[in-house]
Amino acid sequence: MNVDVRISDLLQLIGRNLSLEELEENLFLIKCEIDRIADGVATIEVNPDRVDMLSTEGIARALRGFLEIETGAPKYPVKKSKWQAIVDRSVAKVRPYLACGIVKGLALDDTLIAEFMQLQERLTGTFGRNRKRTSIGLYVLDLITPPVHYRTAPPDAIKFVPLEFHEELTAKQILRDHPKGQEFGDIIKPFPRYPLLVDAKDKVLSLPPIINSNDLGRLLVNTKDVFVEVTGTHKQTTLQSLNIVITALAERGGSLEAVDIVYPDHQEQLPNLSLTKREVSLDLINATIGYDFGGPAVTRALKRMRIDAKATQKVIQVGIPSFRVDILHDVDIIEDVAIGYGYNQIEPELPKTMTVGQELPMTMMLRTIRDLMVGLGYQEVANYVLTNTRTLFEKMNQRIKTVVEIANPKSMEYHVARNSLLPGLLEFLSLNTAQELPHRIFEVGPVVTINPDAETCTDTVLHLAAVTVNSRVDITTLKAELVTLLSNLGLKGKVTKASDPSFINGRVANIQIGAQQLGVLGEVHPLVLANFGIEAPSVAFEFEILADWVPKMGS
Amino acid sequence: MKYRLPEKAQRVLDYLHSAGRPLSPEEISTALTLKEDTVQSLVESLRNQKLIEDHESSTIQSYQLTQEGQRFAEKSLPEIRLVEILAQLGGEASVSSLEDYKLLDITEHQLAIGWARRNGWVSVIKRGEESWLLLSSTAVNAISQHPLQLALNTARRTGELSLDTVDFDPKTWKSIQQHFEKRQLAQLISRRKVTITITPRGIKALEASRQQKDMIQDLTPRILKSMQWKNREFLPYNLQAPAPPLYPGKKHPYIEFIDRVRRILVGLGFQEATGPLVELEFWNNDALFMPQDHVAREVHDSYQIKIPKGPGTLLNRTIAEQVAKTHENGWKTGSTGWQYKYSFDVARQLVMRSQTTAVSVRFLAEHPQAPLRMFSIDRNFRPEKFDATHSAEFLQCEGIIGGEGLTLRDLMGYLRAIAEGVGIKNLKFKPGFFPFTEPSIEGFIHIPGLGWKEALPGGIFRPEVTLPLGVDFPVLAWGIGVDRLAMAALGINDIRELVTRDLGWLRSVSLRF
Repeated sequence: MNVDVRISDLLQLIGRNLSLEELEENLFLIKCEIDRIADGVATIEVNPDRVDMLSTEGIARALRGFLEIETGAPKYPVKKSKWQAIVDRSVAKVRPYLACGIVKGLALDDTLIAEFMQLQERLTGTFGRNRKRTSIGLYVLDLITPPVHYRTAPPDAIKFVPLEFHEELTAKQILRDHPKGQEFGDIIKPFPRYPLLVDAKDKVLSLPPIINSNDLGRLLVNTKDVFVEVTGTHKQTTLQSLNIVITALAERGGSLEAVDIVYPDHQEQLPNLSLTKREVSLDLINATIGYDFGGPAVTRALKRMRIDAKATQKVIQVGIPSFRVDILHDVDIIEDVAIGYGYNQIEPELPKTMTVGQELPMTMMLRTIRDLMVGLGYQEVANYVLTNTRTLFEKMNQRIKTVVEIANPKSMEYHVARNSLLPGLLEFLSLNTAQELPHRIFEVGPVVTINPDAETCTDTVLHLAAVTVNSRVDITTLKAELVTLLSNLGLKGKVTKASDPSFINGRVANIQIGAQQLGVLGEVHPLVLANFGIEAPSVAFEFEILADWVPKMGS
Repeated sequence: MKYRLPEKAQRVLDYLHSAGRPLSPEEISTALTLKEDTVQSLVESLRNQKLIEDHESSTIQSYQLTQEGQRFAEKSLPEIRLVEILAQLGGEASVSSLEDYKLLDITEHQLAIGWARRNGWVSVIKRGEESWLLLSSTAVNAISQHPLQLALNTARRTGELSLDTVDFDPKTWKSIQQHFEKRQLAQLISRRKVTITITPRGIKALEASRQQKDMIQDLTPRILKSMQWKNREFLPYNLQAPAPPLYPGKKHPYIEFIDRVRRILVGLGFQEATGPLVELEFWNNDALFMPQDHVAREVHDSYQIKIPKGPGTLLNRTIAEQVAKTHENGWKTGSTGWQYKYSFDVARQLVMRSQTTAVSVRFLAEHPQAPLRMFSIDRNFRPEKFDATHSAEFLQCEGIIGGEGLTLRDLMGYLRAIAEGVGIKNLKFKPGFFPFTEPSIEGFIHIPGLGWKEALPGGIFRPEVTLPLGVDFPVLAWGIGVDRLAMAALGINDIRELVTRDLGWLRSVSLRF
């Protein structure tokens, strides 16, 4: 994901005046890349595992640690407050989870407000599964009368002025006419009652996950105190999203206050920014990375990554900040040790294990086939597997047969997988009519056929096909080439009369190799030539390459 | 001039020499039954070699009939037809009665009368209100020899009337020309006529050519057998003449490049593997610990298959269940898992394979023994629009290294060895992220003109990937961006050109890269 960051702002939050080169180098070493810089704004690419770095505050916080300006887990004190958010039983079936927090004493300007909106969008995009898992709202604290109520209401009973609008709309209208309603409406549409956030005076805060109200949900330049709310269908994601947004606001100088979330059967005080405690074996860390670190080296590395760490004899006790959503397993901590140590400091090593390399026997067989075809004077060609039914069948004068078809193609040019190579070769030739004749081309490659009994309901099969276009063509020469090819592969083949609408009647045959009909050979029908715009006669053959032709090594 | 003249050039020179006078290319063409443009190009070539020269270059002027001229050549001039009509009527007729005679179109009446009067063939008198035409006695004779009509007829027959070849007396001819111009019956056009003669140099070349008849051109088995070559000279060949282009059978440079990468990897001890192009979601994503509800698995990241509908088959039930449990709660791996309900229906859905890592995990499931080194270079598919930097169909080269005690440093060591193998010396490592490896690395290489670019991804497979497959030793996974490397090696800027449709490029591209 890309984050646009004002460089001067970032450097101020870091607390050190880095040169552009230093900034780029250090970002590189903590998994970020600068995509481009324009007008003092850097577009930084952040990896999907570090959603806590989807804002300038998160990136600055990470760099402060890495540069050892401020190490270990950051502390965000949370004061108690009298605020409550009461969760009605009815949300359990629709959108069960609520997380809230308060930030006071902010100095917001238009740019910061815009940047925090961006953070919300990015976070609810992938991490929030397009708002399905979580959605976030920021409100002007002073306009809300506590306690906040998180309940449901029938769609017709919901009416308020949505953000950026001037008149009241019902929920139904919002889902139908408002762009956010159209985009995210499907998340709540199936339910008879929609989730709703209101204050004690029944003023609407928002219709989660769709849209805030314009009256309470619009932050302005003079807003000092902010109410943060996250609703969702996945508990952990909901809590973590709150943590990420609220700590980012704290990094901007806000002081945090808690909200009591009152569920029907239990209570929670949020935000809960306490560290997650884990233990990782020092031996495992060293075995994975490949060094023999002592406790101090490991703890120093982890502290650079803003993780609290204390070493005992065998184990590192870690305290993981609440905004880190990517630590699922010991290996995630081990990676942070490696990053904290510095990927540019780690010396590569090459182990001394011995294994014997080998190509697939089929690869060697294909190479032999290609060598023989080159020896016969053919130019090798490579075409895509993806194609369309017009090229595969209609232009070949064939009726449309069942082939592997894609449900979500990007264009109708590439919506099926090929079941033969010849159409692609003729397509190639149709684009080269200005080139000097003769044209003699071949391709060796995979095609896909449907097989209901196979593991993937398909077979991936290798074919060889060759086409000659010339002012005069001679099918007996083509047959001679085929015979020579097969004989040089130690295969016995013969041709049997056939009819095939892509070829001239009386000038086409099936190719039989061993006991099986594996292909076709013939003079291409003028209809097919016309369909492809090929202006000279043509002969061609194609056949399947069987896996069991491949000689076994050492046999 | 040491070399033999081409046969046709020789015939031209020969004829020119024996004619003894300057000839025009048209004459040569007729005499030797060669096409005019063949002769023109031979003349051009001989002129360049200074074996012939222009004798006279003159401009020929001739008249070509206009449409009107053609018409009067076919039907004869209106004044002549008027005379014929009057002659049939006994020498006189009223002007109004002319309408009855189809021989003369009504639009031509005035024209005919006017010119017939001027020629003295007809006179006009008034009888009462009517005008009458009277034929003169000389008219009938005059029309059969009328010069203008003769000229028209000749022009029609021969296509043009050249000033040189007319045989009218000058006064008559002048009159005819005036009529041509005034009545717009013919147009004057100019043409250049060239005559050529042989030069002394040309004569020498001809003699040499005749002598060369005695030299051996083609060495044949008969000449060899008869030992004639002992007494004859060999005609030298002009080897410096440019050779015509040839188009031999040839391998595709992209496929060749891939083949070379393949051989390098085999040399590093890797075993090749392959897999089906249509895959199960299970191998394409689930076995790689990608949660089934991840946004990246929606319609924009892989091609779902409509036909066949599926579902496919999970052949190894044990492994499938272990993967399911790992997704849900981490199973025995020590992880929290993704905390959602895993679906076997989703696992069996069919997609076009979107990453070759699917081949790696299939291999791992079938060979869960250390040590192992495997690679695969194979096609993958993603819903992308085709443009200079994106392709919906592309190759990926990936592989795995498995064994007891393998570390992150070993992974870096392997990435460096593989990079060196394909000729890359400048490599630096960045921590990366892939859903199925941790720690992960991105190897960056320096491409002149483009700067540092990501080209060698890698990482240690997460225990959530290896343990459910029955593997309990570390497995290092790595990849090489072969399409990008191929583009750099072949000097291609547009990824679509790797599977170029340009036969001209394939014919001309060098295989040394």
